[in-house]
Amino acid sequence: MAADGIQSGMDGLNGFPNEVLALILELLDLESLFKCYDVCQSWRKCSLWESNYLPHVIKAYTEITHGTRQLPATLSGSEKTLRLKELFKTSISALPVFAACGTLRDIAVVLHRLDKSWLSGCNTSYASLNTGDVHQMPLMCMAIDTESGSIVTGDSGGIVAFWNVSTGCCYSKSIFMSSGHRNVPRHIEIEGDLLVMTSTGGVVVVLKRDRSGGSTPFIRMGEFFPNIRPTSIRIEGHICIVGEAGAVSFWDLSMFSKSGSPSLLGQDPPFASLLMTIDTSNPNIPLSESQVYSLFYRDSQLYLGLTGNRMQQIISQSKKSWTAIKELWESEEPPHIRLALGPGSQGHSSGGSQSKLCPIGSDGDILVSWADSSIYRLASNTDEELVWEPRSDCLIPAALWPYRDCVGIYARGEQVICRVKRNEIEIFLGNGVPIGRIPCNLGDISCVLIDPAFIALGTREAGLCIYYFAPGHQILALGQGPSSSVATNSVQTPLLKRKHTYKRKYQEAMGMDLENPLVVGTSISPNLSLRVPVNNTLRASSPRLALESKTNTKIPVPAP
Amino acid sequence: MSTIKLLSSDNAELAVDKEVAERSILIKNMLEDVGGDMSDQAIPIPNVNEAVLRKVIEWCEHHKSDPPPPADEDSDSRKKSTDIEEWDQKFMQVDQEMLFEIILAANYLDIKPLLDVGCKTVANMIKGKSPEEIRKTFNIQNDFTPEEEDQIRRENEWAEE
Repeated sequence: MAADGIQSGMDGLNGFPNEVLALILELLDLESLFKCYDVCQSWRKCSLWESNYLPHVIKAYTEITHGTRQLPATLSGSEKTLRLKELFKTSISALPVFAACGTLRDIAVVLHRLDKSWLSGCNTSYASLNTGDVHQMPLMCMAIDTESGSIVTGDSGGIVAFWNVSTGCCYSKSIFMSSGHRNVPRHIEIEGDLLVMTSTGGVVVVLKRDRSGGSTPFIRMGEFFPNIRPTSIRIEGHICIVGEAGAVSFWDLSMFSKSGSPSLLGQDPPFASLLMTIDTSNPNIPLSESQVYSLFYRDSQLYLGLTGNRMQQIISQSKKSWTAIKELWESEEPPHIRLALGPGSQGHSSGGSQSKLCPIGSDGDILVSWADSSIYRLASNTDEELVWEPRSDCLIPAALWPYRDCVGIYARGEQVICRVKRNEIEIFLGNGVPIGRIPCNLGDISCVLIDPAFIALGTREAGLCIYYFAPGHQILALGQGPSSSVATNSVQTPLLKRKHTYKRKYQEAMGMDLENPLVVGTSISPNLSLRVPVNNTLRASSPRLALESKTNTKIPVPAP
Repeated sequence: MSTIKLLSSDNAELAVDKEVAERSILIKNMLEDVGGDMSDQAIPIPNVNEAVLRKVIEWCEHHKSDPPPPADEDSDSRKKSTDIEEWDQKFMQVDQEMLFEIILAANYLDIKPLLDVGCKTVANMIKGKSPEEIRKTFNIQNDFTPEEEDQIRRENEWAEE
């Protein structure tokens, strides 16, 4: 059991054989294991056993991936260790936070620091990336590519840009054409070597990673046309799941991943074959209100967030009968479709707002934010009835007007929930207690993606910012420290700079107070207690401003 | 109900119900191997003294009707809880030496549930304590060199950032 095979034991725990010590150590939480390292030489040696950390790292992996990327159950302990080390280095975060990890313990240390950082409710540093002229138009979508450590952004002008998350630099920018027209990206998804992009024109463009070191990181391989304009997209292995209005279609992309360099002469171009389409429409709901806006796949079940206050769960028959579980698209029988309605208005869309879904924890629960942005945690029961069982009543109440639109939600394991609204990111504990808010100063948030080490936001003012939750990482040139108005004002997007110039001129002309701008909509409902982190520099500038303004006014001088 | 006799390391003979003694996989296997009746001959338990053996038997008596522990399930997915049921908590309120002896005996006699309870008790003694408190609890000498001490301090400052 001991890594070095020395029968050392642990002082104080006299005479315990190593297998008993290992039993004790594997019961400890990470914090205590790290403390054991500092007790004495013999405890230090035992605390380094990799077996202590395997359950912790497996748990963290399952939580981060929410059970959607299970490790094969047949692996032995040492095979799991190897696989996990590889996975953490390449596919967990786009930031190289795990790059230097040689052991499971190293990974556990990094995970622990990231956890602490998220639980503080306050980001460690900040960077505004689009300060040059990469994007001039509103950002539409983004995706994360952990393998190359990048994020990919698309704007409404059709520009797709690739950014290095560590340096904050854009290293490639392209426009992808389809039959002579620019594709304006609406959604981007990356999995392995494939990138799919839905465009506002209804085409799905398939790109493949170029490993030959060409000028663009991904090369256009082909495209396919779903029946109706896609409203969401997802890749599972080589299967592309496309959410449409009242339907979900499954496309096999294996030809793209197999084929070599694109468009070799004399070779038929690869194409996507339609495997199946599941009709999700409801006779009582018009097709225009049945759009699938968010979807994820887990454990042979597909979850759909629809327009208005509705979500659906699609279960394959094989899953229900507990025979050999097949993937949804491999099953021949028609699947079960369950519909769940949110609170309030009976499923009718209110102003085009949508229900958003994401997995939470690792036990099959899901988190849903309904059209009014209230968040519930649901557990699927495996009974025959088509009901969802709320784990609790409302977990997080609806946001206040005017920022009721939820851009996205995300659960980090069980512990942290993020709700991204148009104006800010709210951070909650898993039980719904708010722990932090990060306002966005670069315009209306239009798209968001969340990595285990950072949150990236794109805005309608072409702003692209990253809030790091990784202690020790920052890009000094592009802004630093937790999001502060000082930092964000100094690094603006070209679009915002222009706007701000107009705004300042207007305010000067109107004689408005420039130092203390009126902030709209950031008030939080009074019955929520907000734990403000100590090092929140959000307000750090106000004491200084207050002092400055005092020097201008007359200070009463005490009589001698 | 048949009884068997156990012989502790300090030569004390203890009579136990066969069913109770078979909580120990070691004894159970031994009885199966012999196949016959052991009622006339005491089984020697050379690693465990009388006081500890009595404690272990007390635990087995109380837990004799527990369902058998599930066959070795996937240890990774096992919930790593250190909750201990109330009776066991009281049972484990003994001095440290006795606690360690019980764990060693449970390990030797192969009584997995008792070993689990013992390990959980020790784990709970470690949890949430600072290194200094751990040293005090288990009476451990701090044998780090001044350089190592320095390094620990530096690392902790970095972590506190």
